[in-house]
Amino acid sequence: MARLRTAGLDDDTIIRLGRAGMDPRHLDDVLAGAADVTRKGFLDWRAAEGVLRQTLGGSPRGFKTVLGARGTTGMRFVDAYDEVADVAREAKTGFTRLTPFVQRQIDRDVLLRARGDFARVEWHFFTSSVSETVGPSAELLSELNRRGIPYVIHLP
Amino acid sequence: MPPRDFSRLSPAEADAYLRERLATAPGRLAAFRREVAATGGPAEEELDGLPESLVPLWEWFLRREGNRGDAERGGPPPDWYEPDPPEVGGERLSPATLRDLDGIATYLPEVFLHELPESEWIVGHAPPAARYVAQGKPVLRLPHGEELDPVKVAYALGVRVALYGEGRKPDALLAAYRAWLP
Repeated sequence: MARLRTAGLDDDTIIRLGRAGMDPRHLDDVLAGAADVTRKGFLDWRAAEGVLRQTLGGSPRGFKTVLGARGTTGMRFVDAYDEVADVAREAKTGFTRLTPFVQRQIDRDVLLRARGDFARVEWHFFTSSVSETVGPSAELLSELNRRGIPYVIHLP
Repeated sequence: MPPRDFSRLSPAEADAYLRERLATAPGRLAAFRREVAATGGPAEEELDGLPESLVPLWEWFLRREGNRGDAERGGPPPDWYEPDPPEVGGERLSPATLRDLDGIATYLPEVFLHELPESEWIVGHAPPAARYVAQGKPVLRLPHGEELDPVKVAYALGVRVALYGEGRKPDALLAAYRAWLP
């Protein structure tokens, strides 16, 4: 809870996140490991991707890899690729679990980074205006940390 | 807006760029080998196309990058990089660094072709909706289907070193090479 207050969230917003099911202690752990914490408000996923591109640059791009490829799935689409800084950024809006799809995204990001398709990869978590939740689940947080993928939390 | 936007090239223009790049590769490679040997890197015969040669080559790049003075950073960038606006040039890779990376990007395919001779050069292509990052660029299609843009690999590793202070392990280039193997 302390980090939520340090980040500038008022009681009403903290209560709103709690009513949506966010565990303050888990959110505190998430903030503790974040590469950065910002305030961006409650956003839908389109707006979140737009904010990501407006604030940090880049555009949506596809990277080919045969890892886990099935049909047209042989590409990793990143939400914002900054070709000068060579950073791929993924936007997630609302509480995000480690589903098989998300696991595949992580596996591909790790491979693409290892072989030099991009210099860096970052995941950005925005607060959903629909679910009023934010951040990775404990399993996803653990996987991001294990695979060395830095993440940024964008609080409401 | 560096690097150059190859996705704007017509198929004929992209094909012509690929052919020109391949036609000039032997001369550029010979010049790069001489440059590396003359500046404290591995001798010309040590850049023999074997994967292990990527270690002394990367060590050479790290030393050179670390010792590069302000007076040695200028000159023209490679043709795949649009010149930076002067106001941001200091935050980006110097033209001299980019030229070294271009040399590495010219040598790297030699290693792949030595180890995976069935690899072939093609123009990177995907449906426009895919926004393929290598659209219109020369890419080496490896036998297991992966498409390698050697310029992209060299640029990424160079960015890690020059902008992020990472990638300083001697085997960083070799590790990237190995990550491409099936």
